[in-house]
Amino acid sequence: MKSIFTITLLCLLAMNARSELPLETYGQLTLDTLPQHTLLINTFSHNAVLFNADTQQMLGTISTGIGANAFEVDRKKGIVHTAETYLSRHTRGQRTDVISTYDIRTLSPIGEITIAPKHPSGSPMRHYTGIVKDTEAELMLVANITPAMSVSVVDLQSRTFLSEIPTAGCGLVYPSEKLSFLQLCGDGRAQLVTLNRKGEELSRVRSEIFFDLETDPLMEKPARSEAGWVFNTFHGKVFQVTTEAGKIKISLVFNVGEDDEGWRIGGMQPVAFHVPSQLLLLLMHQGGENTHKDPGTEVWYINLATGATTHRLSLAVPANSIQVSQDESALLYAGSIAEDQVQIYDLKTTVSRGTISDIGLPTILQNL
Amino acid sequence: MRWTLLLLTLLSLTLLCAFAAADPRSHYMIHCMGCHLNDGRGLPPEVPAFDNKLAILAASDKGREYLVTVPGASQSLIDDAALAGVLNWILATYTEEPVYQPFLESEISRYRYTPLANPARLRDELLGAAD
Ligand code: HEC
Repeated sequence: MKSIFTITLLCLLAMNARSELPLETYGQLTLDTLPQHTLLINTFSHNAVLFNADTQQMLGTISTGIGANAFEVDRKKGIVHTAETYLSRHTRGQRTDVISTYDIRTLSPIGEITIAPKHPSGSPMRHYTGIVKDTEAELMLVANITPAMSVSVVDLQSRTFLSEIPTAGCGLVYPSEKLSFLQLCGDGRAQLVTLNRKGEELSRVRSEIFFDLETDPLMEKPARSEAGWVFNTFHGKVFQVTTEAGKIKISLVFNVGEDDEGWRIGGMQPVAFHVPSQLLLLLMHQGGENTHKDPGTEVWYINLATGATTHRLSLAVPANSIQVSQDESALLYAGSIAEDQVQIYDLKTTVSRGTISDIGLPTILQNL
Repeated sequence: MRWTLLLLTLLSLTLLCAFAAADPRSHYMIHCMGCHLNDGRGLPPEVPAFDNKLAILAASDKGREYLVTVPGASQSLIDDAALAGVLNWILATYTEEPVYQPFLESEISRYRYTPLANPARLRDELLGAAD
């Protein structure tokens, strides 16, 4: 009896409140100025979500076809590009692969370029695409695996699909100087391919063998430093791969972890680099053989020049991916799939600056 | 009882290892079948079906070099002798005509470590030339 009375009262209150609500209209919101710390998060829910990391407020989403790939960000032009796959009947039918370009202000697609329907879209991965450029040309590269490996080359200025470069035995793309890109090969070497502005191959060279696939494989998830790319092996060797005048230079920088406590580098996006402080950030966990995809419980701060570990940050919850903003008052992000959240820390003070939750299973984290 | 169990486990493991190490078919299953599939049909045109074209390819030096340097073969995690064994097994299993010149370990070593840039183009050239 009492509850019926309460419900009636609530309904009356609600009706009353409703009559006073202003009329809502729909329209399009625009992001006229991007917050200082804007984080673009790929998810397992076939989209990417944009957050203001300072307020943890959600800014919008971009749908990314049947899979999800990382983004090529052009902040100057205010656009992002991503490689997408579409099937005409959603889960079957005619397959079309495109590079879609989105306006960051509206998050609406403003163009697409059809590419060979060969690009992989499984678990999101930063190095399926890359942009190379010189003073005149800007080419977007998309790695293909069918399982034959090749790279599609797209001219972003004329917005045309230029070519497909066969790269047998070598995969992924790591942009390098001008119109050249690095790849990793199944024989333990890196490969450098140089293109001309028409997307034709000018040269290709392979490095010496620098990792052993069986005893200590290289992870394909490096971070870009100023000089080149910082890779690591399962057992914690850290290499810097650079190029100079068409040659590949590989230097072993240092070893990390694998001490008595068995700390290893691992995760889905386990390495980040903060350019202003030259800090290498590594997502670390304790584990044995074959734990290279396990979530990390700590982020180690390492001086790239000396190899010295300057700090070990304990994460509140284990994370699969890390990223860092590239400003002086940088934020360190740690994404957790199991907890569906991204933890935010002040890089310098290591103090927690909040959590972004209910994302849709965060995978690759990128700065906008 | 516990010892017998341990002994049996060890014995079967040893047998399994010996079997896997020696048998080209097992190498095929572990290192090649993921892409070439259980009956060699592959996924044409990207992964060519294993058929009588292999015999044409294996009949010339250039063709033999091609068969060894496709990355699935050259970059596989088996040694030269084992790779020779798998390639011979593939030829014996999927071609109609017997191939009279089996691959030797030395032939594998000679070709294997020079990377092949564009397998599809070389294949077209080789098979076009053989027609
Ligand atoms: C990752 C997938 C993959 C695996 C694993 C693989 N291959 Fe292949 N194979 C290919 C592709 C793709 C081609 C076509 C050439 C190319 O683009 O590499 C090919 C072509 C070949 C050819 C030439 C066939 C023809 O008709 O032209 C031979 C021979 C061959 N592979 C042998 C092997 C052997 C032996 C193994 C195992 C030791 C193996 N492959 C494992 C993908 C694979």
